[in-house]
Amino acid sequence: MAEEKKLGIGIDFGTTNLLVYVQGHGIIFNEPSVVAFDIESGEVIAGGEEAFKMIGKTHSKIKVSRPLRDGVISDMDAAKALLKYVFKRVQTLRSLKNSLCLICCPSEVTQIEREALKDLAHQMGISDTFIEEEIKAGAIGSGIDIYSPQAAMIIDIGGGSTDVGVLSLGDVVLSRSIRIAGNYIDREITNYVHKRHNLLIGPITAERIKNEVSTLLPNDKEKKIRISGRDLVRGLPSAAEVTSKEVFELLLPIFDEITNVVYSVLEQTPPELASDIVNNGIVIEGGGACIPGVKEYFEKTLGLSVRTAPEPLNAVVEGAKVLLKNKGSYLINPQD
Amino acid sequence: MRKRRHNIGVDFGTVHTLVYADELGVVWNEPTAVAFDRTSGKRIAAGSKASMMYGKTHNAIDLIHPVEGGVISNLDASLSLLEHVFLQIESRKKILKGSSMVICCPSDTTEVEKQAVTALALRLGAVDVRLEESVKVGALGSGADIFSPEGFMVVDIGGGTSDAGILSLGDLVSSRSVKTAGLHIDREIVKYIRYTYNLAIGPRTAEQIKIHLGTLRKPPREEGYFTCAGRDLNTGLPKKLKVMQSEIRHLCVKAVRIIEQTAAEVLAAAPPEIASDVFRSSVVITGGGALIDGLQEHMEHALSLKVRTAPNPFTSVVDGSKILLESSESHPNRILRKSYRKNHT
Repeated sequence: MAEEKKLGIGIDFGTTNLLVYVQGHGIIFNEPSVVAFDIESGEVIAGGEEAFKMIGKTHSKIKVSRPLRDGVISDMDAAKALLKYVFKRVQTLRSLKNSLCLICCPSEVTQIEREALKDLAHQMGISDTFIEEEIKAGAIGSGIDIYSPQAAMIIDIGGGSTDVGVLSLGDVVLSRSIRIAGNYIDREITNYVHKRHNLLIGPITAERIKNEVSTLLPNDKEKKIRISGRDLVRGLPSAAEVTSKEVFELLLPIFDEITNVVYSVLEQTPPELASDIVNNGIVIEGGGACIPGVKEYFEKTLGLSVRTAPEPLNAVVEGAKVLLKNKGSYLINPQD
Repeated sequence: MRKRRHNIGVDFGTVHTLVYADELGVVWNEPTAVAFDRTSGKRIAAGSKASMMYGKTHNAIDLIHPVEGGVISNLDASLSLLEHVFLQIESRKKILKGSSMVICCPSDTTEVEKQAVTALALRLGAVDVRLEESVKVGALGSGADIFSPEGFMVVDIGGGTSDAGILSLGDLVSSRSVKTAGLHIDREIVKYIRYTYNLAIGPRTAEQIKIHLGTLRKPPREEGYFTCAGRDLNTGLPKKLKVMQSEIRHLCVKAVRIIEQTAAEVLAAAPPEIASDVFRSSVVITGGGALIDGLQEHMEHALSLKVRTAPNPFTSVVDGSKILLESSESHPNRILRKSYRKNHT
């Protein structure tokens, strides 16, 4: 019997960014999870980076959609359309029928939501799909050997959700997720600028502020950013300056919430694993890991050593590469 | 075709399982633990590999210690573990077929359990299987003369139980067993650290503390200490803690007192002639617990008798099974269990 080598596909379908890995081709897509449609014909006009640039700037004939909200599929058609667009870009790709697909999802995703992800893959023509928690893929992608009996603790601050988990012996021992993450920070920034500077800004601008001046270091050198939007009082375009100090004050209560989730995981961790965590420390990954001072912040509030993953934004898809080799079984260490 | 009949001794203890084969020595020495995948029910690890998972498993794994307090608490898991052990040995050295086996099961093993263990050994190739009590075989392995009418006293401090017994003419005259042993001390350490420091530690951490700090000697001026880690019960966060030797010494003394009490009870129940033998010779301590620093002196003081430590405390049970098998060879009045095979195939 000839051995059928299945083509491995790993998908990190995040709220903010979509990363797709195809065995033999590498990471074929790493762009925002956005898709733009022409309303009349229903056709896809742009996906990824191009569609992202259209956010908040469309006329009535174009609809821009984010298929995922808070880590789960909210618009199935848009999700399908985006994936089709992604796969079309890889011209030399053979049929998807003989492929094994791994989709990563946040930790507290319900069974129905997981079925929806599997269904999405089916509709793309992929027959063999399995779902894994992002936290597991992210841990492997950060370079941790989760198959040993040593506990590993991960904090993944993504766009739609923040996942916190403890792993050991090849699987998740316990995990929690909360829908307070990157996008929530953007929304808080928007509200703040609205109230404080009387300026209405768009989501892309809010994200720019977050990316350029956010910090969790109380005594960092102050950075400023000049942004523009629509003045609420006069109704005319206007500009304002936002400082890193303002964003710092904004981030504290948000990270308080995230720390509470971390506490709740630690409180339930079996003592042998807690002992490992004291010795091995915690790993942070995801977009939130890029905020300056996030490592020091957690070290201070938790009293444990913390390190950032080497490639915070790609950790999940890197881990998915490895998980494809053992189909997620905790008994087989794919690195062997 | 020359078929070599091997003698195999098995010590199936609460904490450790040892297997000895003649001419090869100890062929298996690993913890008595076995892990199963919860969904499929398949065995995924046994021995050291399984023991390393203790306190660290996720929901898909069932880690079982099939012997508790010296008693088989889970027969299926016990059989699965023994099967793994025998298959592992067989894959390396072909000794099971046609072998004579002595299996030292925990005390109070029921008839059903004895039959099940015997059937397993027969199925894997043994021809002659005997089940014996660990304390008796351990005494033989510590130097008791199997045929002489001299009273010989042994105190075996194991993982699940501490057994005290007096042998004469190859069998037990008086014996007692208590569940105060290695694991008991581990559990006391867990309790102590929880109540004193509000820190929850895992079972393997407690064992490490016992191994590093366990002693009965009064600590020198420069006291030893050990840094362990667990979960602070007030804050819920992982935390490190420095434990001093004197604290652990206190716990060891409490446990040893109970064992000494048991030994005293055994002596009190022995006939006076035998008591006189023990007085003239010495009490032998064996088992992993015999290696606790200062135990010999402490016991001598408590019992007012001479106490010596067996030369090989860990392996005295399998050493004793070797003696049993060899003496059975030279005195062929043994009962062959071939009839078992005929009835049960």
